Amino acid sequence: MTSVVDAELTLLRRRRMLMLGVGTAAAFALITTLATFLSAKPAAISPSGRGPTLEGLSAAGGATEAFRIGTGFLGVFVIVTFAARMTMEFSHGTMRTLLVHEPRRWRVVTGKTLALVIYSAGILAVAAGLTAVMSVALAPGQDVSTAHWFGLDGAQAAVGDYLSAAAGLLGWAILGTLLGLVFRSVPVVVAVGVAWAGPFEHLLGQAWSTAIRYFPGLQAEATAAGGTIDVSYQHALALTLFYSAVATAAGLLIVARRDITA
Amino acid sequence: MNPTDNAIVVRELTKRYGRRLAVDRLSFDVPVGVVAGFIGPNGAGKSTTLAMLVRLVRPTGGSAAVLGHDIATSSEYIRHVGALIEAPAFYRSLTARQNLGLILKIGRHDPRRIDAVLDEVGLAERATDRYGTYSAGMKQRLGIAAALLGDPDVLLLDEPASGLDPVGIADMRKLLTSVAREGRTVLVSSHALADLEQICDWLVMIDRGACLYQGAADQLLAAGTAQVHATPSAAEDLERLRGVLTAAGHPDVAISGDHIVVAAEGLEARAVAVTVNREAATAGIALARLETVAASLEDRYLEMVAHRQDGGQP
Repeated sequence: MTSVVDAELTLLRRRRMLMLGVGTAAAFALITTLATFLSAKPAAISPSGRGPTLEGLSAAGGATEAFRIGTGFLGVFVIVTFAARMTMEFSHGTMRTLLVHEPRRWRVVTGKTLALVIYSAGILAVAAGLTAVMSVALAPGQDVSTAHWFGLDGAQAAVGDYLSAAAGLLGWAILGTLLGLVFRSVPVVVAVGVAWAGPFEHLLGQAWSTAIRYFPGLQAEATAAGGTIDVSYQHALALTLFYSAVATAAGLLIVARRDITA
Repeated sequence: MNPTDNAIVVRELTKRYGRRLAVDRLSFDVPVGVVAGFIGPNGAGKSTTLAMLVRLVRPTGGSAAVLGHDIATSSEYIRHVGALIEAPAFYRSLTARQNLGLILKIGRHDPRRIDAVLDEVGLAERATDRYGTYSAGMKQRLGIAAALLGDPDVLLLDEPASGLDPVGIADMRKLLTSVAREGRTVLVSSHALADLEQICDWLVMIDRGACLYQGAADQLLAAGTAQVHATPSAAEDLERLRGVLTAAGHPDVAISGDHIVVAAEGLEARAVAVTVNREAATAGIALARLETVAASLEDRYLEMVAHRQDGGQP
């Protein structure tokens, strides 16, 4: 499988793909940092505990607080990216070309997904770094103290935020790949991915509180955010790993049984 | 023939898509080291059969073995098989060399093969151009290059001449002939029967998913009805010559352009030509030209398809 990962990374390491990734990370960092710092209020006037507070930003994890909040909104983007990419491999015939040289389909599909996860995790790291830099730049203007950001606690919080986001990314990536294997058309897979990870789960989650604790996309979202007031990080992570395992098994079964006719 | 002499053995192979039967209990063998033509009309099941041989499509029934490996239970043989199934498909934004490099990594082939195969298919000079800028013929050549990348013992090619210009088709013929000369086995599907006739020493003909003929190409052609073409020196003797030959008992005599065509059904063409020459001389008709014409692959193929459509067994 390492040969497939290596080959796929060759595709993803091209300058165009790297520029695209870094550009996306910069846009993400700019939007989330601005939105977080401009909307932060004193905890006293934000009793619900939802949304950023000035006290939270001044705490040890403040440098990556905007990153942590922002990654919760990446679900749709990640699911659609992974789903569309896998569907295109089949519909454009490139998967057929590769499987003639490596008939162990699970290796090809797993290797390609893993490579895209590695690439995405790298882009996520860039986004985390850029968010921290922008936070440092914005903090004085919003009366946010950065005194606690640069100690060991600050570093631990930043690493924790990144790992949580990466775990959420993995969950979304596997769900997206499964979607891409189930549906063979890019427009269909984009529509289903957007509808599912966007309005479907969130609307149901608002109307039915149980959904917040069990729906796969919402669990990945809670994992990426390091837990929410509704779902603990441990619960979200455990369910994300469970759904990822089920989705992996289902995806590999589909791949093994599918006729490659395109 | 000893079974071990066969590179490909197909037995009762069947593929059904819902209610549509794509391949119907197809059986054939391809001996080691031959260039085998895989012939049939559109929708006959050629591509599906080739796809099953490289495990892209799962058979509904029957069995097949490539290089002695059962395709249902082993994938090891794939390393020794090169294939171009349906249209070539590569990453548009990568160059030919990058595309082959990617396949090479996944297939764990010898890195030195890239230059060799690019040279073999005539793409060496355009190797650094992006695939998206390639013409249909160049894409086809790259597809063949990819099939050759693993230095395969068996080559399965689905319409490899599709999109190629006349020079490309001639190059393809040379390539397949040289590949076979190296002891490899080639199974090539094509509608260009005249091209196949020049390079194939083995034929597998199918129609509507079933086998019409399999065997040596020369045997199939020899079993066809040869013709004798006789051209009178004087054009006004054409009609008279037909009458003379018909009266002499030749069962199938026709005028075609400036000559008479006599079918040598069940007889040796040379013997019929001698008879035609004698009968023309006896009638005082001078012949400007007399030749025997062997049955072409196209003639034989059309005969067999027509025979099947009439309800006859192949």
